[in-house]
Amino acid sequence: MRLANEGKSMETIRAEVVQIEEKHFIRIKNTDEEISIPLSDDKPNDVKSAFNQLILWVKEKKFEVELGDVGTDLFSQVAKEYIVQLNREIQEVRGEMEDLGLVDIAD
Amino acid sequence: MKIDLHTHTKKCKSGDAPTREISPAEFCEILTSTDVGIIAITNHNVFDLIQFKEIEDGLGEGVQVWPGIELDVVEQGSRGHLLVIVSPTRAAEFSELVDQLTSNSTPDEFTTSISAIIQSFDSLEPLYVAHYQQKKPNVSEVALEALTAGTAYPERVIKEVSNAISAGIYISHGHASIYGSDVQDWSTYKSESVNLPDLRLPVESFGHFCLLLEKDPTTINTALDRKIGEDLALTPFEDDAQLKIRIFNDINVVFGPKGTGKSCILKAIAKHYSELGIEATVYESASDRLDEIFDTRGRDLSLNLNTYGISYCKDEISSLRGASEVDVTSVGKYVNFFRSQTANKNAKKIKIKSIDTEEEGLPRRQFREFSDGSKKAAEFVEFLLDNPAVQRVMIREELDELIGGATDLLKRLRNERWKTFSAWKEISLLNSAIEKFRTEVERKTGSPAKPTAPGFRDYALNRIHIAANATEILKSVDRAIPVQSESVGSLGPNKGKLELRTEYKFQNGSITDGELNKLKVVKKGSQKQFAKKVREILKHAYKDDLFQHVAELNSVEDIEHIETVYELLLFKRHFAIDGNHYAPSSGEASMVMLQKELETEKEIYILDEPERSLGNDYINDVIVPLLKERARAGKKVFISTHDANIAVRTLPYSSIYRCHGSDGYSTYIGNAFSNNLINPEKSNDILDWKKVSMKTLEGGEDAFGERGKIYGNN
Repeated sequence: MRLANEGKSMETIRAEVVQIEEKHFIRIKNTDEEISIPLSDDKPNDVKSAFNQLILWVKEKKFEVELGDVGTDLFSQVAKEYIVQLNREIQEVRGEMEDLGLVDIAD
Repeated sequence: MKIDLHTHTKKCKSGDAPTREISPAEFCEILTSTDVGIIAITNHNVFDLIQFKEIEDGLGEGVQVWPGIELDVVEQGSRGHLLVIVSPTRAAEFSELVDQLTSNSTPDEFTTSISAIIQSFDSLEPLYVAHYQQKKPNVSEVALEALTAGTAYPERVIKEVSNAISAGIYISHGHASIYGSDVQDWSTYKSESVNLPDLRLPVESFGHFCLLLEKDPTTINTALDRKIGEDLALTPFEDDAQLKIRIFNDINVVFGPKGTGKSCILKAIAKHYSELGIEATVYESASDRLDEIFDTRGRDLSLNLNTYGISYCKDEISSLRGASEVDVTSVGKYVNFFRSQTANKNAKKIKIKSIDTEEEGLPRRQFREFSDGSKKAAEFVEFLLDNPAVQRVMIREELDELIGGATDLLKRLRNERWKTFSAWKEISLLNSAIEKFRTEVERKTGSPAKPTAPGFRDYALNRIHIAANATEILKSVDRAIPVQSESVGSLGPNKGKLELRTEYKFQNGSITDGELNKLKVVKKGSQKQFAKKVREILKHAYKDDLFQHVAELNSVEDIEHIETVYELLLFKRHFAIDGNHYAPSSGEASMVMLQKELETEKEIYILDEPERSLGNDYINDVIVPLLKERARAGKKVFISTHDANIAVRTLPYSSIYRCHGSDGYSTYIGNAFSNNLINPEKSNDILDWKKVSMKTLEGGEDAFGERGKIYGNN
């Protein structure tokens, strides 16, 4: 039995800060899927929805999120810090999942 | 033990089959592989003393071999065969007398008369066994009359018939009858010997056998006394009259017409032993209680899931029911932090508050690994040091080397355990300090502290644990439990064995079999809802509506009674033959209940009319052998019966006869061996056991027909 992506170098998933109308978001893209974390508004349910999807990605593979084109504006600074901390937690969750045998197994 | 009074070892006459010829060594080998304990060698018109001695020496003390001869007798023109058998102590004299009688002719030519036989052999106190009726060539009635009139031992004249049924019929008509193998082919003797007559009483010698045949009271009592027996003083009846009976560690029968108090005697026997602290209950046929006795409704049914390696999932169910959402860190906190980051100069000076916290999970897991490893290694070292089996299979040097290696491993693991513990706690303390400073800076400067984590970890782990719990519960309920089968009894050779099958299934959300019953109090509908909801929870573990499904789980009726997966068990318990559902009839229920009673290991069996609802064939083929087997094992068996198959064919050591006449109720005690039933209150009031049995018991004639199989008749 072999864990998915075991032995492979860690994959990188791209993230960016996007502005739609007056609202800012962190958009994280994983191949065909993407999640958005709202920065301008406190919307915990939206964050939770994004996290739910993120759990499935963590279950599927080992990866880290990389934020591209970091600006100096407030939301870029927020996003930068947020992603740093999120990456740390993603690795933690992946470790726990491996311990519990909950990660997806490669064929 | 079986008896065979008619065998051949030589082809003496031209008509004898060559397969009758057998060497002493082969004879001994075959005999010792059978249950035959007494055998007489009765060749045609010949007695071979040398061969007899060789056989006697070869058999040793295990089997008694008696010398004999089968003579051609001609009386008033009628030819028949008569066996003359004597004590082995007189074999040499017998040989001389045979030689004298047969000296002038060949076995084919030789004939003799009754008077000549008596004159030659009566002084040896022999046993005469005459071919009778259909046993050809039979000795005529005239010749038999001459024999019984001329011999000094008329009670030793036995009629040999061709089989057990015939012997029994003649016995019931007052003739001493027996049958022997008259062996034609020694290669089939072993299998055919199972049909030979049984010896119910122990027979020590030829003389002892003759005394039993003569129904000598002292001899019978001596034989009975060798059996373990005891005297019981019972008060079975309302008049408080005492009944003294002698019973044996064997079969004891109470018989007599209906309504004469037989059941009262059995109950008094049960009470007697119960008061002594010996388990004794009266078995009564109750075919309508079969379902109750075998608990087909499963009232007392229980199952240990651990036996099948199935987890009860108590913690998992409790956690799942108590699961709640974990909040995430508000993104607004990050925005506020960066917005106000430069506003307060004092806050800027305290650098520690800006250090990022570190995740503790990895070092904590590493510490746990080394901790578990150390514990197991320590247990292994202790096992090597203390286990005597290890010390027996290993030499000192090997053991020292192994202990040395294991101790070194333990040392390294403990060292790593300490290192990982330090690393974990170092991070833990740093995180704690950072958090404290942030809180204090935030409080004292009014400047918001930088959040330490988005809360993904706790949020995700909460849902991961919910998924893990649901998975574990479903893993249990999706397990198949092997069908349990308990033998109930035999329904005879045609139908086969009746079994009690118990099928267990977990309600996994998709079971629809209406024949399945709930094992515990939780309703079947609730069980199904519960399993379905757990599946939904697993399916939605990483979806926004997860906690709606958790709430639905908690609203399932009876949810408070579902503490483990055990409460989700369903069962089906039924009788079956070859795995197929079978509903035993009332008679079949009686059959298997009686079998169950007799197959239960105990010292005392008390059976009240066990024949109720049972057919003769079943009583003969299954119950009587079981009763005999219990008796052979030295158990006390008490049976009240109207059935001759039981009262006669088991040939009980003690028969208690209850009857009602003009003087009121009477009790007679006796046995088949003496053929007497004696009223203990009037010693001269004696009944004929056989006549009373035939008159009182149902199927008496037939049963006596079968009794020819057993010695102790007339």
